[in-house]
Amino acid sequence: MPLLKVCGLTKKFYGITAVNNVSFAVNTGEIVGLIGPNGSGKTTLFNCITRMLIADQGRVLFNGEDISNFKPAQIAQKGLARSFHFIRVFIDLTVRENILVAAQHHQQDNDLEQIFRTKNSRLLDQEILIKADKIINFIGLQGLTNEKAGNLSYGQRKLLSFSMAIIFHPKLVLLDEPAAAVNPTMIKRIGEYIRTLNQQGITFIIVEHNMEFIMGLADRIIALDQGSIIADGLPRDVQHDYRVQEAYFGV
Amino acid sequence: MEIFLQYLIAGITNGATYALVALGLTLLVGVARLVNFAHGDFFMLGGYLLVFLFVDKEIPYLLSIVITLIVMLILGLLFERIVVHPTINKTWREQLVATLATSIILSNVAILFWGTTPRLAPTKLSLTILRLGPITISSHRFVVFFVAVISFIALSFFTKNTKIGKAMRAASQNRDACLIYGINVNFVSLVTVTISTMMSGLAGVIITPLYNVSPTVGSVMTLKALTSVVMGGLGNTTGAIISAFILGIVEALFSGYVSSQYQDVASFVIMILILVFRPHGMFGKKVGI
Amino acid sequence: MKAIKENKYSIFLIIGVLLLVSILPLLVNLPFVLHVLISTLMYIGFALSYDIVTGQIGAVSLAHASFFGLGAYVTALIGKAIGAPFWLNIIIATILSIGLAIVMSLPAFRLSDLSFSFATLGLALTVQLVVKNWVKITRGPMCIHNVSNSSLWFNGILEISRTNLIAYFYLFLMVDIVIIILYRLISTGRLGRTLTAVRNDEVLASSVGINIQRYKRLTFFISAGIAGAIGSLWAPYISVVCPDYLSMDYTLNLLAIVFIGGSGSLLGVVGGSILLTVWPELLRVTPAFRLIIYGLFLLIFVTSIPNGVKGIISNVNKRLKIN
Ligand SMILES: Nc1ncnc2c1ncn2[C@@H]1O[C@H](COP(=O)(O)OP(=O)(O)O)[C@@H](O)[C@H]1O
Ligand SMILES: [Mg+2]
Repeated sequence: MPLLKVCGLTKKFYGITAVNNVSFAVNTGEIVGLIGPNGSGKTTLFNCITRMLIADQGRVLFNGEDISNFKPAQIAQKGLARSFHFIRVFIDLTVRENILVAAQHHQQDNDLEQIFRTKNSRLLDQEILIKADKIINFIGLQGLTNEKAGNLSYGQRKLLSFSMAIIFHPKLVLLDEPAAAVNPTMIKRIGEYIRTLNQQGITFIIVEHNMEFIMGLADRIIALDQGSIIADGLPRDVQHDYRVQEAYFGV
Repeated sequence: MEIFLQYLIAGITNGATYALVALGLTLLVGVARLVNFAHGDFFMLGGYLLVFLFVDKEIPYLLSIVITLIVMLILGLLFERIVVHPTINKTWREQLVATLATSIILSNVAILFWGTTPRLAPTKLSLTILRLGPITISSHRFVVFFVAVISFIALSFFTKNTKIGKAMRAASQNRDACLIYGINVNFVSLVTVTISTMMSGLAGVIITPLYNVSPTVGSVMTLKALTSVVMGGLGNTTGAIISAFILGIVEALFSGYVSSQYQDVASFVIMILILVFRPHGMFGKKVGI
Repeated sequence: MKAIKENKYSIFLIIGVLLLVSILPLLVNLPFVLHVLISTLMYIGFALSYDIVTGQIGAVSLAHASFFGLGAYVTALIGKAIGAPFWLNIIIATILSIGLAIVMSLPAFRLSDLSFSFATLGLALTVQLVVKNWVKITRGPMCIHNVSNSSLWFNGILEISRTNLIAYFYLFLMVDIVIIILYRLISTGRLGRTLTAVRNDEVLASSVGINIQRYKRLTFFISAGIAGAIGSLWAPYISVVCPDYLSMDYTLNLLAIVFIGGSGSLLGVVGGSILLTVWPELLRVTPAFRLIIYGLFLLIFVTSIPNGVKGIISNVNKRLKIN
């Protein structure tokens, strides 16, 4: 059984078909690269899978379960995480709090326990705190742990939002251009980190324009053009596919 | 049947009133993306200026209208500079609080000057009652209707045939479009807000002779106008006007046949239902993900 | 509107100050001074309850006065029917206010942002119209006069007379301390982070698994319950209950307190309540004049001074530290 199965997903905006009858499946343990020129519908596809946008047609199965009618929060609870193309962070929370808040909704205690700080609740707090600090060290933001996310630079926000997507040990992570506007050293580290997490069993779908990065990382590439899948296969094959060449360079 | 027609006429006049107030608001919402909670308070000020000029100072009605419009022009400019301009790039929360603050100031200034008892401003026309068979109509209702139609035509002409009007229309489609017309965005905002304010004030001057004016009429008008605007689709002028008439008629019928005390409840219920059943609420919320 | 990070010790500061204030009545036993103190305490609790929903989770409700008014009316009516002790009144008022909040939330929380505010405004006006016109029960614009005194037990046993201002002072003080602690528990820790996250970005919040609706409802209900409790305490103290207890003017007062003081901040809201309650009482200005001044300050703050007075103070602090 594939981890994610997308069947006939279609999304139109006032006559523009942003995603056109897209079907594919992703197996557990894969790293799939999603490429395509600007405006080809990659972000919209992510939005439809996570139900931030409601698709006009099609179904999405996650882990065998039909999530087409779920709310975004439920989908996240099921273990499907994502990052955003236009980077989003919680500007009034500190770096550490951003990561904590991303992790804490996967804890098993209720609001009353949280309000009255029961022992169980405090233990859980400790647990995620340790995890959060670990990841902050990893992405190299330890100097900014208590800085408001609103004061971070674009690149720093990007790293933060990457950590927020992976902190709660999701089964599948959708990353929307994680390497854009990040410095080369950090790109390398992100790549290595993705690979490490992948070895721990986390599956990735990654939208990326940085070909070197994505071709090196992905086991498989799906190429979109004008909302439709035009190629799906090994990185080498897709890169040399004439339709992909045409879509990118108009050859 | 006569009773029904009588209610219907009252409803159409209500509708014309709401349409006049909504016309300015839909412009503001469309062009500046600003929901102005003080919009109805300019209506109220228009009404009080009429009471002051026409009743207290005995200045002729037409001249009172002209003077009121000039005052509204100045108020509109001030409102844009002091309230709209500083908040236009802030979140909806700041805009809400800023326009609510304006509404608090205006309605309480009215209380300080004129007290809380409603004031009347009957004109010769509003006291002239026409009889059409069994139905009686105050002739002033025709004035209201006439002004509503003229305002609508004037506004369409302005936005379609002048350079600044075209820029306003473009801006309602796309915020950066003014640049294409080579017109300063600030200027577009200034003109839009001022026209909107003047139209609300004009509505107040035209309608007050039929009813009365009190400091609280402002917030009620804001709600009715906002309801029409939301019902018609944000920034859609024709839609807002049709909705205003529907709202006016439904209210009049409700008030006549069901309960006059709860007339306003009828419109609030309509408003809430529309908000809920229009997907994504007021702005058809575009999520910029 | 950015919330300010709360100093860890602000709650001790505030409770310390309140304890200091608590010996005031023993020193100056003037009815006027006591009345100002009691009003201030009332507004502190009322404004904190408002800030839970408006400042913390960022849903600007315009219906908060409805709950206060409901609490006041319920208490006045119970007083006429049976003499219930004040704590039972509070419990009933709280439950009914939460009930009203649940009804309001059905349409209102299907909306977000401005539409939510707009819908709550319509709902608040509807509730007020009902209270005004339901003359048989509420006596409408004639108001309910001579609300029974608060008492500690049934049938007026251990009654707190309205002339016993000191007793009312301590009653409000105790309730305020409870509210402050509750506010603190809600606005910090995991729940506090969640609320800030929802206020900052609903889309991102839902992408990390936060059930936005649930937290909006939670805060709305808690804040409505507290407002009902405050109304229930206020009615016997002030002895008259009128339809304008449910009017926008009360909500606008709160809006001014919260946004001028500093929304989302304990110190800001408490400071705002003190600032905005004491001077109008001292200068004995008319409500209209007071609201004009509030409106002007609101405008100034919202257009040019983010974070309210609290923000100014923390900026000054920062500068002093740097230099
Ligand atoms: N919210 C929206 N409203 C209208 N059109 C949209 C919206 N989001 C995306 N589109 C359109 O859908 C198409 C695909 O966009 P997108 O998914 O962002 O592409 P990509 O991420 O591949 O660059 C584009 O033509 C874009 O203009
Ligand atoms: Mg994209």
